[in-house]
Amino acid sequence: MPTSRRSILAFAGLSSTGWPLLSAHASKPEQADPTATLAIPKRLTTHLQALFGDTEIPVRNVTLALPALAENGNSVALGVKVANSRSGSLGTSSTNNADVAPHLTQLYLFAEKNPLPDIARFEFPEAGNTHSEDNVADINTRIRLSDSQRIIAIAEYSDGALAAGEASIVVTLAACIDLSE
Amino acid sequence: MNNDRQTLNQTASWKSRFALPERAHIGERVLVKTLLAHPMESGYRRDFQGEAIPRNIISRFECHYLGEPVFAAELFPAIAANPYLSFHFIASKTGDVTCRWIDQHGAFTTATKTLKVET
Repeated sequence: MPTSRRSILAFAGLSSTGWPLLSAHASKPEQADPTATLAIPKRLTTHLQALFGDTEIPVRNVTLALPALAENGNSVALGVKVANSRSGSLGTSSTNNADVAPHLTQLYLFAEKNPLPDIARFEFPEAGNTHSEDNVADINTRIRLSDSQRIIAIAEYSDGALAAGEASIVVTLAACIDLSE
Repeated sequence: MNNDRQTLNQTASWKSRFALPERAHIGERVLVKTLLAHPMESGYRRDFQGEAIPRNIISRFECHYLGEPVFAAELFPAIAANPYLSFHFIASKTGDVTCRWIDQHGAFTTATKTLKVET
Protein backbone atom coordinates (compact mmCIF):
# COMPACT_ATOMS: atom_id res chain seq x y z
CA MET A 1 0.00 0.00 0.00
CA PRO A 2 1.75 3.18 -1.12
CA THR A 3 2.14 5.59 1.73
CA SER A 4 4.76 8.21 0.97
CA ARG A 5 3.86 10.98 -1.48
CA ARG A 6 6.44 9.83 -3.99
CA SER A 7 5.17 6.27 -3.99
CA ILE A 8 1.59 7.46 -4.41
CA LEU A 9 2.58 9.58 -7.40
CA ALA A 10 4.61 6.75 -8.92
CA PHE A 11 1.70 4.43 -8.37
CA ALA A 12 -0.56 6.82 -10.22
CA GLY A 13 1.99 7.02 -13.03
CA LEU A 14 2.37 10.77 -12.61
CA SER A 15 5.83 10.88 -11.12
CA SER A 16 8.36 12.73 -13.25
CA THR A 17 10.82 9.89 -12.79
CA GLY A 18 8.51 7.66 -14.77
CA TRP A 19 8.00 9.77 -17.89
CA PRO A 20 11.46 9.68 -19.50
CA LEU A 21 11.33 5.91 -19.65
CA LEU A 22 8.10 6.05 -21.56
CA SER A 23 9.04 8.66 -24.10
CA ALA A 24 10.39 7.60 -27.46
CA HIS A 25 14.02 8.16 -28.31
CA ALA A 26 15.85 7.59 -31.59
CA SER A 27 13.57 6.60 -34.43
CA LYS A 28 13.74 2.96 -35.47
CA PRO A 29 13.18 2.73 -39.22
CA GLU A 30 13.57 -1.02 -39.41
CA GLN A 31 10.49 -1.47 -37.25
CA ALA A 32 8.56 1.36 -38.86
CA ASP A 33 5.67 0.73 -41.15
CA PRO A 34 7.04 1.32 -44.66
CA THR A 35 3.96 3.20 -45.71
CA ALA A 36 3.89 5.50 -42.68
CA THR A 37 3.76 9.20 -43.37
CA LEU A 38 4.94 11.98 -41.15
CA ALA A 39 2.38 13.28 -38.68
CA ILE A 40 3.05 17.00 -38.96
CA PRO A 41 2.58 18.83 -35.66
CA LYS A 42 0.05 21.68 -35.79
CA ARG A 43 2.70 24.29 -35.07
CA LEU A 44 4.65 23.30 -38.16
CA THR A 45 1.83 22.87 -40.67
CA THR A 46 2.04 26.27 -42.39
CA HIS A 47 5.80 26.31 -42.19
CA LEU A 48 6.22 22.91 -43.83
CA GLN A 49 3.51 23.65 -46.35
CA ALA A 50 5.39 26.76 -47.46
CA LEU A 51 8.56 24.71 -47.91
CA PHE A 52 7.28 21.43 -49.31
CA GLY A 53 3.73 22.02 -50.43
CA ASP A 54 0.90 19.77 -49.43
CA THR A 55 2.57 16.41 -50.00
CA GLU A 56 2.59 13.63 -47.49
CA ILE A 57 6.12 12.83 -46.44
CA PRO A 58 6.99 9.15 -45.91
CA VAL A 59 8.86 8.22 -42.78
CA ARG A 60 11.89 6.34 -44.11
CA ASN A 61 15.66 6.55 -44.64
CA VAL A 62 16.20 9.11 -41.90
CA THR A 63 17.44 8.11 -38.44
CA LEU A 64 17.87 10.53 -35.58
CA ALA A 65 20.11 9.97 -32.59
CA LEU A 66 18.83 12.12 -29.76
CA PRO A 67 18.94 11.43 -26.03
CA ALA A 68 15.59 10.56 -24.49
CA LEU A 69 16.17 13.11 -21.77
CA ALA A 70 18.20 16.33 -21.76
CA GLU A 71 19.18 17.87 -18.46
CA ASN A 72 19.82 21.22 -20.07
CA GLY A 73 18.12 22.43 -23.23
CA ASN A 74 20.97 24.80 -24.07
CA SER A 75 23.12 22.16 -25.71
CA VAL A 76 21.74 18.83 -26.81
CA ALA A 77 23.71 16.51 -29.08
CA LEU A 78 21.80 15.51 -32.20
CA GLY A 79 22.89 13.10 -34.89
CA VAL A 80 21.09 12.42 -38.17
CA LYS A 81 21.84 9.67 -40.65
CA VAL A 82 20.21 9.72 -44.06
CA ALA A 83 20.42 6.97 -46.63
CA ASN A 84 21.17 7.91 -50.18
CA SER A 85 18.85 5.54 -51.81
CA ARG A 86 17.80 4.14 -55.11
CA SER A 87 14.55 2.83 -53.80
CA GLY A 88 14.15 5.53 -51.16
CA SER A 89 12.42 7.90 -53.51
CA LEU A 90 8.76 7.31 -53.99
CA GLY A 91 7.90 5.06 -56.88
CA THR A 92 11.26 4.97 -58.66
CA SER A 93 11.94 1.67 -60.33
CA SER A 94 14.59 -0.63 -58.96
CA THR A 95 16.26 -0.82 -62.35
CA ASN A 96 17.72 2.66 -61.97
CA ASN A 97 21.49 2.54 -62.30
CA ALA A 98 23.69 4.43 -59.88
CA ASP A 99 24.19 7.35 -62.23
CA VAL A 100 20.58 8.38 -62.23
CA ALA A 101 19.65 7.15 -58.76
CA PRO A 102 18.27 10.00 -56.75
CA HIS A 103 20.79 11.24 -54.20
CA LEU A 104 20.36 13.33 -51.11
CA THR A 105 20.53 17.04 -51.79
CA GLN A 106 19.24 18.74 -48.65
CA LEU A 107 18.33 17.90 -45.09
CA TYR A 108 16.03 20.09 -43.01
CA LEU A 109 15.78 19.94 -39.23
CA PHE A 110 12.86 21.31 -37.23
CA ALA A 111 12.09 21.63 -33.54
CA GLU A 112 8.36 21.42 -33.08
CA LYS A 113 8.05 23.75 -30.08
CA ASN A 114 10.98 26.15 -30.30
CA PRO A 115 10.04 29.83 -30.85
CA LEU A 116 11.49 29.50 -34.33
CA PRO A 117 11.04 25.90 -35.50
CA ASP A 118 13.96 25.83 -37.96
CA ILE A 119 17.13 24.30 -36.62
CA ALA A 120 19.28 23.98 -39.72
CA ARG A 121 19.27 23.16 -43.40
CA PHE A 122 22.18 21.09 -44.68
CA GLU A 123 23.21 21.03 -48.32
CA PHE A 124 24.97 18.11 -49.97
CA PRO A 125 26.47 19.30 -53.27
CA GLU A 126 27.39 16.71 -55.86
CA ALA A 127 31.13 17.29 -55.60
CA GLY A 128 32.65 15.19 -52.85
CA ASN A 129 29.62 13.01 -52.36
CA THR A 130 29.07 9.76 -54.20
CA HIS A 131 25.77 8.46 -55.37
CA SER A 132 26.44 4.89 -54.29
CA GLU A 133 23.63 3.03 -52.72
CA ASP A 134 25.24 2.59 -49.35
CA ASN A 135 26.38 6.15 -48.99
CA VAL A 136 24.87 7.59 -45.88
CA ALA A 137 24.98 11.23 -44.87
CA ASP A 138 25.95 11.41 -41.22
CA ILE A 139 25.64 14.76 -39.50
CA ASN A 140 26.20 15.66 -35.88
CA THR A 141 25.53 18.94 -34.17
CA ARG A 142 24.33 20.45 -30.91
CA ILE A 143 20.97 22.16 -30.63
CA ARG A 144 19.02 24.34 -28.25
CA LEU A 145 15.58 23.30 -27.11
CA SER A 146 12.98 25.34 -25.33
CA ASP A 147 10.70 22.51 -24.34
CA SER A 148 10.16 18.78 -24.45
CA GLN A 149 9.18 18.16 -28.05
CA ARG A 150 9.67 16.27 -31.29
CA ILE A 151 12.59 16.92 -33.58
CA ILE A 152 11.73 16.34 -37.21
CA ALA A 153 14.20 15.80 -40.02
CA ILE A 154 13.14 15.98 -43.66
CA ALA A 155 15.47 14.85 -46.41
CA GLU A 156 15.10 16.06 -49.96
CA TYR A 157 16.50 14.11 -52.89
CA SER A 158 17.68 15.20 -56.31
CA ASP A 159 14.41 14.15 -57.92
CA GLY A 160 12.37 16.18 -55.45
CA ALA A 161 11.29 13.21 -53.34
CA LEU A 162 11.13 13.65 -49.58
CA ALA A 163 11.78 11.37 -46.63
CA ALA A 164 11.33 12.11 -42.96
CA GLY A 165 12.38 10.90 -39.54
CA GLU A 166 11.64 12.12 -36.09
CA ALA A 167 12.56 11.65 -32.45
CA SER A 168 11.11 12.91 -29.19
CA ILE A 169 13.00 14.35 -26.29
CA VAL A 170 12.16 15.41 -22.75
CA VAL A 171 13.96 18.60 -21.72
CA THR A 172 14.39 19.19 -18.01
CA LEU A 173 15.70 22.74 -18.10
CA ALA A 174 14.59 24.74 -21.13
CA ALA A 175 16.99 27.02 -22.98
CA CYS A 176 16.25 30.69 -22.24
CA ILE A 177 13.39 31.97 -24.34
CA ASP A 178 11.14 35.00 -24.48
CA LEU A 179 8.45 34.54 -21.84
CA SER A 180 5.75 35.91 -24.10
CA GLU A 181 5.96 32.86 -26.38
CA MET B 1 32.10 37.68 -51.57
CA ASN B 2 34.29 40.21 -53.35
CA ASN B 3 37.71 41.14 -52.09
CA ASP B 4 36.66 44.42 -50.49
CA ARG B 5 34.16 42.70 -48.29
CA GLN B 6 36.70 40.08 -47.45
CA THR B 7 39.11 42.65 -46.04
CA LEU B 8 36.44 44.59 -44.16
CA ASN B 9 34.58 41.67 -42.72
CA GLN B 10 37.20 39.10 -41.94
CA THR B 11 36.83 38.46 -38.25
CA ALA B 12 39.85 37.07 -36.50
CA SER B 13 38.16 37.02 -33.11
CA TRP B 14 36.21 33.81 -33.61
CA LYS B 15 38.40 30.89 -32.72
CA SER B 16 37.72 27.95 -34.96
CA ARG B 17 38.91 24.42 -34.91
CA PHE B 18 38.42 21.64 -37.36
CA ALA B 19 39.62 18.09 -37.37
CA LEU B 20 40.42 16.12 -40.48
CA PRO B 21 42.30 12.87 -40.78
CA GLU B 22 45.90 13.42 -41.90
CA ARG B 23 45.62 11.09 -44.82
CA ALA B 24 42.93 9.14 -46.64
CA HIS B 25 42.61 6.65 -49.46
CA ILE B 26 40.91 7.50 -52.72
CA GLY B 27 37.18 7.04 -52.34
CA GLU B 28 37.33 6.99 -48.55
CA ARG B 29 34.67 8.80 -46.56
CA VAL B 30 36.50 11.44 -44.59
CA LEU B 31 35.03 12.70 -41.31
CA VAL B 32 35.31 16.44 -40.69
CA LYS B 33 34.58 17.79 -37.22
CA THR B 34 34.25 21.54 -36.84
CA LEU B 35 33.89 23.83 -33.87
CA LEU B 36 33.66 27.60 -33.59
CA ALA B 37 33.77 29.74 -30.45
CA HIS B 38 30.69 31.91 -30.92
CA PRO B 39 27.83 32.79 -28.56
CA MET B 40 25.06 32.11 -31.13
CA GLU B 41 22.89 34.64 -29.35
CA SER B 42 19.37 33.51 -30.14
CA GLY B 43 17.71 36.89 -29.78
CA TYR B 44 15.26 35.47 -27.27
CA ARG B 45 17.22 36.14 -24.09
CA ARG B 46 16.70 39.26 -22.02
CA ASP B 47 19.30 41.23 -20.08
CA PHE B 48 18.93 42.51 -16.54
CA GLN B 49 17.08 45.62 -17.73
CA GLY B 50 14.53 43.43 -19.49
CA GLU B 51 15.75 44.40 -22.96
CA ALA B 52 16.06 41.62 -25.51
CA ILE B 53 19.66 40.76 -26.32
CA PRO B 54 19.79 41.04 -30.12
CA ARG B 55 20.21 37.95 -32.26
CA ASN B 56 23.79 37.34 -33.27
CA ILE B 57 24.33 34.01 -34.91
CA ILE B 58 26.46 32.24 -37.45
CA SER B 59 23.94 31.82 -40.23
CA ARG B 60 25.98 29.84 -42.74
CA PHE B 61 28.72 27.27 -42.77
CA GLU B 62 30.52 26.07 -45.90
CA CYS B 63 33.18 23.50 -46.54
CA HIS B 64 35.14 23.45 -49.79
CA TYR B 65 37.45 20.69 -50.98
CA LEU B 66 39.62 21.25 -54.06
CA GLY B 67 37.73 24.47 -54.63
CA GLU B 68 34.33 22.80 -54.82
CA PRO B 69 31.68 22.99 -52.10
CA VAL B 70 31.24 19.58 -50.45
CA PHE B 71 28.99 20.57 -47.59
CA ALA B 72 27.06 23.64 -46.52
CA ALA B 73 24.64 24.48 -43.78
CA GLU B 74 22.20 27.28 -43.11
CA LEU B 75 22.05 27.68 -39.34
CA PHE B 76 19.32 29.13 -37.14
CA PRO B 77 19.17 30.24 -33.49
CA ALA B 78 18.34 26.68 -32.46
CA ILE B 79 21.95 25.68 -33.03
CA ALA B 80 23.67 25.77 -29.65
CA ALA B 81 26.42 28.23 -28.71
CA ASN B 82 29.91 27.29 -29.88
CA PRO B 83 28.45 25.52 -32.90
CA TYR B 84 29.67 22.01 -33.48
CA LEU B 85 29.12 20.41 -36.87
CA SER B 86 30.46 17.15 -38.22
CA PHE B 87 29.95 15.68 -41.66
CA HIS B 88 31.67 13.57 -44.33
CA PHE B 89 32.92 13.91 -47.86
CA ILE B 90 34.64 11.52 -50.27
CA ALA B 91 38.38 11.96 -50.74
CA SER B 92 39.61 12.03 -54.32
CA LYS B 93 43.04 13.70 -54.42
CA THR B 94 45.40 15.62 -52.18
CA GLY B 95 44.21 19.13 -51.67
CA ASP B 96 42.96 21.83 -49.37
CA VAL B 97 39.87 21.59 -47.26
CA THR B 98 38.52 25.01 -46.31
CA CYS B 99 35.85 25.67 -43.71
CA ARG B 100 34.10 29.01 -43.59
CA TRP B 101 31.69 30.35 -40.99
CA ILE B 102 29.61 33.39 -41.97
CA ASP B 103 27.48 35.34 -39.53
CA GLN B 104 24.19 37.10 -40.13
CA HIS B 105 25.98 40.38 -40.88
CA GLY B 106 28.27 38.85 -43.49
CA ALA B 107 31.41 38.72 -41.35
CA PHE B 108 33.24 35.47 -41.77
CA THR B 109 36.20 33.44 -40.72
CA THR B 110 38.01 30.73 -42.64
CA ALA B 111 40.24 27.83 -41.73
CA THR B 112 42.14 25.60 -44.14
CA LYS B 113 43.87 22.26 -43.82
CA THR B 114 45.43 19.95 -46.35
CA LEU B 115 44.20 16.43 -46.85
CA LYS B 116 46.74 13.95 -48.21
CA VAL B 117 45.12 11.37 -50.38
CA GLU B 118 46.99 8.24 -51.35
CA THR B 119 45.97 5.28 -53.46
